[in-house]
Amino acid sequence: MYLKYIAFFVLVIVSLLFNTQMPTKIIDQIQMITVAGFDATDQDKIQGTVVTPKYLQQAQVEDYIYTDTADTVYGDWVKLNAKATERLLNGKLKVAFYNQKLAEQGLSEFTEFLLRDPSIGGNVFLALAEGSSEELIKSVKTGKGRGIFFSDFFEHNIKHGNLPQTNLKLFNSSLKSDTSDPFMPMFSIEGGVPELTALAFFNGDKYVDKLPIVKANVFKLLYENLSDGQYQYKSDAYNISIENLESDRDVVYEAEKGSGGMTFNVKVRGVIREYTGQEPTDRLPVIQKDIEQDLEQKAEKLINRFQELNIDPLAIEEEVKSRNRNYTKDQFKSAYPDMPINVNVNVRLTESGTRR
Amino acid sequence: MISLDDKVTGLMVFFLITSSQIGVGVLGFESIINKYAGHDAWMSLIISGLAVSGIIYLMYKMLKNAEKGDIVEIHQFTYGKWLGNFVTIIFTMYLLLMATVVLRTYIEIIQVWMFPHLKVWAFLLILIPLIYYTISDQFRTVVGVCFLGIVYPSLLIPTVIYPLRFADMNHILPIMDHTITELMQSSTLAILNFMGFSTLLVFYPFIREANKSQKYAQYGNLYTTGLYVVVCLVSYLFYNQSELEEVIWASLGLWKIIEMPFMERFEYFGIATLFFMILPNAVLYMWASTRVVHRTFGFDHKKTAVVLLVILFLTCVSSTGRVGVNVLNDGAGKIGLVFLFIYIPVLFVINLIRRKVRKNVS
Repeated sequence: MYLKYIAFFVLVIVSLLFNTQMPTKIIDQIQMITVAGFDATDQDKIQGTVVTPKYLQQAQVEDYIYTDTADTVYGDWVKLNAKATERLLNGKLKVAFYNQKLAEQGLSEFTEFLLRDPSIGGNVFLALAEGSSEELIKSVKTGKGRGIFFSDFFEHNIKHGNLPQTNLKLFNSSLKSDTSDPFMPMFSIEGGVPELTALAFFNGDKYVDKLPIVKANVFKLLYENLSDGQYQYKSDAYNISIENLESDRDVVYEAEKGSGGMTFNVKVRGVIREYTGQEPTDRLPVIQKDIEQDLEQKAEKLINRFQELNIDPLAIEEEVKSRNRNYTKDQFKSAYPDMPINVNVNVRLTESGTRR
Repeated sequence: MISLDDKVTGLMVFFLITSSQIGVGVLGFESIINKYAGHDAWMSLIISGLAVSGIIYLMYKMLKNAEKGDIVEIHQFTYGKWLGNFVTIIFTMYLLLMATVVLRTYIEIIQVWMFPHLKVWAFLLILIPLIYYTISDQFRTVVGVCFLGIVYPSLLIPTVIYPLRFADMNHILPIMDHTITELMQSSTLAILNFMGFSTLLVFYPFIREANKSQKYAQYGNLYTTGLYVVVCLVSYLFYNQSELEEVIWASLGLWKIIEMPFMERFEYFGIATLFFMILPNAVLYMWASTRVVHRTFGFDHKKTAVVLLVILFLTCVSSTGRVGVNVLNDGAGKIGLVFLFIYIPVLFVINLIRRKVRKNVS
């Protein structure tokens, strides 16, 4: 009878003994990469820059930045490890930058490793750097560490600013899908500090065009439902700022009209925050009409631009495919550049702040 | 004869069926079943569920008329002693193969997601005493493990809400864009995720008032089907079809998007909890194969368990890497399909004829 227990313990102990030889990752003996930046160099190599925070005393963070060049990302990691005091690991990666030149050559080779590594989550923010991403990362002035700095930066711009929802998962989704093209926020250095300047659009995984971030609210209206946005309008008679913008978008596809037409119906609700004319409450219908026209014009211009470039960041093909059983890829491809796409905006200004 | 103390109530059939069905398959079946039916493949799961429900009905019909009520007796009655025992051995091998598939796939997941340096054989040395402990004594221990195997992992079900933030209805529209044939083809691939219920043929005599327990078995199958459809729908809303082509474990990938202040990666918690889902699978298969060998040849239950566990150990260790695990999974899927949907109905018919003939003679 005892033999059974002895056998049990021998098995368990042997198992534990052999598995304790597994390499460990102790928090004091690793450095977690929070921000990574990739730049194109000559001779087909890639330059990688990583930031790892070192926590000093309370609320003090010191960022270590390492840079080197290699053929692959992990080849680069090897070289960076030769510079770091402790092992560099990916688990805390929050933001990855790519420079514009790299994006023009195609990004999928350099986003692939992010998806393959099980320790990297889907919420990593991806962005383009106009110029060099190394300089962009180095130009940050912050006390909370560059990882937190950038992830907070993205979060508040997505929640309250003009930046549409973006992360690794969404980028990869539209990159892999045959029916849409991805986009990314784009940073540049203005006055020595990083600034979100534009929204970069891709054809497949190649960068083709950008839209200044101040104009990106129109794109955001067409792309998703806003929960808190803003909008400025300037006319000859008055200037107006609208805040707390909420929107609902609804895409209608009419297959009957020959090759098919599409309408974006966008309902917008907002509150007046700044107004330079006379008594806005009396003139609400006029103001609403003005804004509707302005938004429709801008939106249609934007869509025409996408059609000219033959890119589809709004996933119009996806909409067509999911609503039309007779959809074929070739037919859509030939129809898309001249496809009639209309935008109907319905604006309702619900409040005017504390003044009439 | 099995004493009343060793038997379990009819309600437990629910847990036995469900926990035997839900195994490693649920972690990655989305990118396998969409091979033919694309974004409509979630409907194939419903078809599979219905088909399995029919097979459960056939099994109950067959078992009700058997004297001792298990597959060993049915085989001996239908084919005679020698041929019957031979077929039973094949059945045992099928159960062993299923146990191997489950354990090896789970270990692969641990290797890929958590510990790349994990030694398969060393890890199995911890698991095998645990399995032996569960299967060597009463059947009630196995049922206990199966019960917990439903209760613990059910806490993970609410996590499917999180990925819905990134859901896109367009990914599954238009509905019914594929032909019925394609849906059926996909449902044959989905069957691998339902297969565990074949152990019903073995544990049937351990159920009190067994012939009244069919409704619990059907409820169990319903629960499994429902769970699969929910997980599959969420995955299909979250991923688009071209994305799924590259993902191996789509359901685990859903957890990649979850971020909690106190937990950076939810998968680690999830995979650890899923162990409670894997264990009943392995335990039930091993118990069933031990029991079948014991019934056929009269060998000692405990000694048989040891021998079979050694075989399990060797088969698990000898399959390595993604390719090896994939071969195992595909093989088990095909064999299971043939077993459940061709062999069981055939057996049912032959059994029926035999019974009619026997009755007329006497």
